[in-house]
Amino acid sequence: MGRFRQGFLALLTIASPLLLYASGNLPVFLPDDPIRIMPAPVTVARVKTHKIDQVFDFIRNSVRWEPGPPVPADAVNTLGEPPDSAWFTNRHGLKHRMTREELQRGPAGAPPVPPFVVVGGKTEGITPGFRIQDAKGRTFFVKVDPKTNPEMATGADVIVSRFLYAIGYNVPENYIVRARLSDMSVSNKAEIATENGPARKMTWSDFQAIEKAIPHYSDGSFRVMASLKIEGEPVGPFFYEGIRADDPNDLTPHENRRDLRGLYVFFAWLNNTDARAGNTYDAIVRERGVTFIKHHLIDFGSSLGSDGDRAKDARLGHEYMIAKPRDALRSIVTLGLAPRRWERVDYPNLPSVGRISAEAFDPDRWASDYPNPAFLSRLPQDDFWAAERVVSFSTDDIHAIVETAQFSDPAAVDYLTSTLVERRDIVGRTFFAKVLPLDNFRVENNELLFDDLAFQHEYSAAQRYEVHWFEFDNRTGHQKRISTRPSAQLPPEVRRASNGNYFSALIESPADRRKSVTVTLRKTPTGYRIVGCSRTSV
Amino acid sequence: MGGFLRPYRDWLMKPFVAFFVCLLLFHPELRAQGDPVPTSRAEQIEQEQSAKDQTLGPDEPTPFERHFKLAEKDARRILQGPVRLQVGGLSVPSGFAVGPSVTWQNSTKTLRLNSWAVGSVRQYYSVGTGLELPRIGGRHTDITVKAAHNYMPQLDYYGPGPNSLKSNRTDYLLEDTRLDFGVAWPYFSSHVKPRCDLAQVWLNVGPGTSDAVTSTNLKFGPAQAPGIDNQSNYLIAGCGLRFDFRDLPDNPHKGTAVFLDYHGYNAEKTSLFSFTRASGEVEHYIPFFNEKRVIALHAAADLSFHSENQVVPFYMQPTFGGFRDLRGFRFLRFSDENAAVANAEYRWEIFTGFDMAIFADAGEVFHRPSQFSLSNIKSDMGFGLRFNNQRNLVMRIDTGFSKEGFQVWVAFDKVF
Repeated sequence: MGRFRQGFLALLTIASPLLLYASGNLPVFLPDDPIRIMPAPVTVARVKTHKIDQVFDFIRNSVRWEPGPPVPADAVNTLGEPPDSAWFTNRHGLKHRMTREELQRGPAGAPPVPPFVVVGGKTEGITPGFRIQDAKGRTFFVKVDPKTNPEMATGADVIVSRFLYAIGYNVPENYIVRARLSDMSVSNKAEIATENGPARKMTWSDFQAIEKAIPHYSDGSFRVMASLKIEGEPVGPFFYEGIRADDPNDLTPHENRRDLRGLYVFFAWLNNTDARAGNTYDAIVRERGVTFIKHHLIDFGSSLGSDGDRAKDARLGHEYMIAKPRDALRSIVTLGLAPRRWERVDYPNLPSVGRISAEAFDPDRWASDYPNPAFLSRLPQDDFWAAERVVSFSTDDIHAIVETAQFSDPAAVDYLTSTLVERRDIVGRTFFAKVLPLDNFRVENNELLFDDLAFQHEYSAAQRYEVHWFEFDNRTGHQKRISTRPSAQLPPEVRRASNGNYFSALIESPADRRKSVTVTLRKTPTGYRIVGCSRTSV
Repeated sequence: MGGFLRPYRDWLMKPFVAFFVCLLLFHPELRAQGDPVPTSRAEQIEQEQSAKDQTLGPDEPTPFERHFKLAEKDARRILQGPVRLQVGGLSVPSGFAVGPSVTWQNSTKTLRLNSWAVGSVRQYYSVGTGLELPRIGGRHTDITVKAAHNYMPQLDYYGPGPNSLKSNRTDYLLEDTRLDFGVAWPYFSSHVKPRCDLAQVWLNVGPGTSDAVTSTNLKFGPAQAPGIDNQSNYLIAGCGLRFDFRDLPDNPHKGTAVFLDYHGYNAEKTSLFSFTRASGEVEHYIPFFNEKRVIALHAAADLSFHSENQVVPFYMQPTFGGFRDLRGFRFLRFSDENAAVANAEYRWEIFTGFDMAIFADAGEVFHRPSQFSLSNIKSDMGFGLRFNNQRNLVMRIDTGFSKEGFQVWVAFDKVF
C-alpha cells in the first residue's frame, strides 16, 4: 500500500504540470494581477492597409439594431479595467487626475507656426478642407466652420479631442489657428481632389475659393482647426467588430473590448454621433524599439452641437439615422402627430454651439448615426466603467477644456460647460443605478472600505451595504462562506490566514440583491492586495 | 527516465497510465496549448501574442464587400463622372429615358460646359449643349447660353378650360429647337437675383404618334386648339427677379422664396399668336418640432396678356395636372391662357433621409381673368414618400386622389 501511495504521489508529481498544461485551467489570479500595462507588443510585419467603403459600412451596420447575446467585456485586467495598451492609456480618472493645464494641453505639443504652405485640398463635397505645412515643416489637416455657424465645428473638434485624450484614447493634436490670407501660399506641388475625376494641380484661386467659404472675423482673419498628421504609417481605420488578422497584438474581438464598448458612454456624453469606423485611424508606429499598430480616434467635428457643416440635426443622438422599424412605423401611423421628447427641445440661439442640450438626453438610449457593433455589445459593467470616468471630470475640468475652443462668445463657453456638466450628471445617475456604484476598495484597520460613487456625487442617498466573506480557491475559483453575519470587518479566518491566500467579499445592497460586487483580495506580507472585482447588474 | 523514477516503473507501464499520459500529450486541443503554463498574466498575454503571430493572415474584406465596392465604383463612374449616363430628364410622359451626358468645367470654375443626348422608350428625345460663365465681369454677372432640340411625340391635350373632359384626351407632337441666352446678376446678395433672358424657339407641331389616343388635330379645331392649323416660331425676351430666403433650395425646410417673371412672346410667322406672360410663384416653409415637421405652402400663377385679336396657341398655354401641381390628375390635364394653383403639404420625418407628406392641391385654368370662378377650381388630396440626402430631394413617390381617380407619380425632383 505504501508503495502504491508512493507511486501515486510520484505520478501526480509528473502529471500535475501536465494536468495543468492539459486542462488549461490557469489559476484565477496570477501573481501580477491586476496588470496596469499590457506587455510589450509583438513587432508587426506584413500589414495590409484597410480601405473602408463608407456606403457598405453604413448599410451593413444600419440594419442591425439589436444586440447579440451578452458577452462579458475583455481586454481588461482582473479589476475590470483596461490596462494601458495600443488602444487606451489611463490618464484622468477618480484615482489619478490630470491638472487643469494638462487637460487643456491634451495631446498637443507645439501649435502650428506661420507662414503656412497649402500642400493639398478639396473644394468638392459638403465641407471644404486642405492640408498645410507650417514653418517647421509639419503637416496639418485643416478643417473649417460653416458660414452659418462660425467657430462651431472647429470648437467641437478641439474640445472633444481633449476630453477623449484625458479619458485615455489616442487622438490627433488639434489646434485652433487664426490666420490671414497673407499667412498662406500654395505649393507648386499641391494637388486638389475633384469630385469625380483625378486630382489636379491646385492653384491660388482654388485656395481662395476655399477661403471664401470660411467665416471671417471683422479684422479679415479667419479661423481653422489644424490637426497634426498622426505619426507613423497609416494602415486604414479599425473596425468596431472582429480582429485584425494581420496584427499579432490584436487578440480581443473589438466589439468585446471594454475601451470600445465604453466609448459609447463618452460619445453619448459628448454627443459625438459620427461613431463610424471611418473616423478611426490605425498607424504603424515604433516605440521603445517595437513596431506595432496604434489605434486612434479622429474627426470630432460632428460632436457636441455640431454636425460638421451645419448645426446638428435634432434627431442625431436620439435615434439612429435609419430608425428602428418599430419607431418608423409609429411615426408613420401617427402621422408624426405624437412628437418625441427630443423633437420639442428648445435650443438656444448660439451659432458657435449649434444644437446640444441636456434636456431629453437619455444616455441609455443615446444613438450614434448607425448602430455601432461595439456599442450594441455593451453591458452595464462597461457603462459603469465609462461613467466613472465621465464623472471624474469636475465642473472646473469641463470648463477648462471648453475654454480651449476659444469661443468669441462667452455665453457659448458658459452654455456648453453647464450643458456638459448636466449631461455628466445624467450619465452618472443613469449608469450608476444599474450596478452597485462602488469603487476604490481598500483594507484599512482590518476593515474593507469602499466609496459609494452615487452618494459621493450626490446622485442618490446613502445606501446600506452588506459584506459577506468567502474563502477563495484560486485554482478552481470555488468560494466557501466563512462568515455568518455580514460585516465589513475582516473575519478572523482572513486575518489568521497565511500570505498568498485569497478571500472574496460579496457586497450587496439589501434594497436590491440583484446587484452585487465581488471583491477578491490576496493576503500579502504587507497587508491585503485587491486583485479582483466583478459586478452583477439589474 | 532517471533513477528517481525507477521505483515507479511498474506503475508507469500500466496501460491506463500510459493512456492517460498519451491523452494529455496528444489530445489535439491540449496540444494546441503547446506553451508552458504561464506564471504571470503578462506572460500569458505574451504567449497569446506569440501564438497569433504564428498564424497571421492577410486582413481582407469579404468577397461580398469587394464586389459591392467594385459595383459602387462602377456606378459612380457611370452616373456621376464627367462623362456619364443620364437617367431621366425628359418630360413625364416620355417613359424611361437614358443617354450620355458630358460635363466639363475649368479649374477656376469660371467656365462650365454641358452636353447631353437622352432618348426614351416612347421615342422622346432631347439633345443639347450649354455653356455657363458664372461670376464673370467682376464676379457680379452670370451668363448662360444653351442650345437644345427636344422631340416630344405624345403630349396630351384635353381641350381648353377647366371643364374639358377626361374622355377627350388626344395627343400631339411638339418639336422645338431653342437657343437661350441668359444673364443674371447675383449682385445684391445670393438671396436676391435679377435675371434677363432672350430665347429663339423654332417650333414644329404635328399629329401625336400614340396608337391608343386620337391625334389632337383630328378632334379639335382651331377654335378649341388655337395654333393646330398654323404654327409660328417665337422670339422670347423678358426679365425676372428671384427672392430666395429658403435654407436649402433643393430640399427646403424653412424660409420663403418669391419668383417673378415677365416675358414677351413674339410670334415671328404670324401676328395672331404674340402675347406677354406674367408669372409669379411663392413658396413658404413653416418648420416646427426642430424642423422635423414642415408645412409647405406654394402658390403660382401664369397670366397671359394680348390684344383682342390674338390668342395663345394651345402648345404655349400654361397647363395643370401632374407631379408638380395637381397630383390627382393626369399630366397636362388642364390648359388655357391663364392658370393659378395653390398647394399645401404637411411633411414629417420618419428617419434621416425619409419623409412622408400629406398634401392638398387646388388650381384652375381660365381664359380671361374675369372667368376665374371658385366653382371651377379643381382639387385633389394625397400622400407622398420622400427620399432625400442632406441637401437634395432624391426621389419622391406621390399618390394623388381626385374626382377623376388617382395618380401615382415617381419623380426625381422636388415638388415645387
